[in-house]
Amino acid sequence: MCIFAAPMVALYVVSIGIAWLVHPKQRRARQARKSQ
Amino acid sequence: MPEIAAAVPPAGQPEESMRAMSFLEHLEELRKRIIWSIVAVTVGFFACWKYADRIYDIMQRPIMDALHRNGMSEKLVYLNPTEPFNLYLKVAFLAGLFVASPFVLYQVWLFISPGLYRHEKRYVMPFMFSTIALFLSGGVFGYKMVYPAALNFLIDYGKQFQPMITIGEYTDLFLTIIIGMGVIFELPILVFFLSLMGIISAGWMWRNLRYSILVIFIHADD
Repeated sequence: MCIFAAPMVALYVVSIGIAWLVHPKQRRARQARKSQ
Repeated sequence: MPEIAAAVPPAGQPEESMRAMSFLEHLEELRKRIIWSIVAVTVGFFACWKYADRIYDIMQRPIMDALHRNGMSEKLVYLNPTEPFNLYLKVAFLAGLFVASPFVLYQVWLFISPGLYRHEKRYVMPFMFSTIALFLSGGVFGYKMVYPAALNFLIDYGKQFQPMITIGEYTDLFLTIIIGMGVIFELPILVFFLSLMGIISAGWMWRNLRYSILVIFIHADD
């Protein structure tokens, strides 16, 4: 069960990072910081 | 027959290579792509048919290792005379589909690419590459790590009984685990699109981490 679950938890954590990178709010904030 | 525009360019973008195709032209193009894909899968099937027994040897290696480790007879059984023949047909077809998949994906690309803008086309290759790489990683991880460990545990757990594992049931279990792991490894791609559309955010995912872990463990137990 742990062998099945461990990669899924790791992928979930990686996905949090991806979601943080590509979410429109974050992208807008990054663009605003760049333009300042 | 009304004409259907291939796509309407966004404001400010030049109408590069935008030609309206009629509905019948779309159908004709689809027919051509499907025929080429079927030809490729058929060629793949016949090429793999010759090696179906070797491919199945690779597929059954995890169960053989698990049976060997637990001191049991290293033979799978069949309950119907047609079962081995059907099994090799299935294995050759799936292997042929796998071998032909780059060509089939290329046909899909040829069908959809005329409807895409240049800036959209730029994302297709990274998307395709990461999707295939993640799926293959999931499959390899399932084959090398998850499946042998799960089989070893399960065979060891039922040690007091004599196993009579049929080739059909074993193949179904193998495909479920390997393809399942491949699909599970596509989670970052799914999250990428959901997040891009603003449906989910990193904060929401982080707040629901504990529930996600619970769901993952329940799913892993299945």
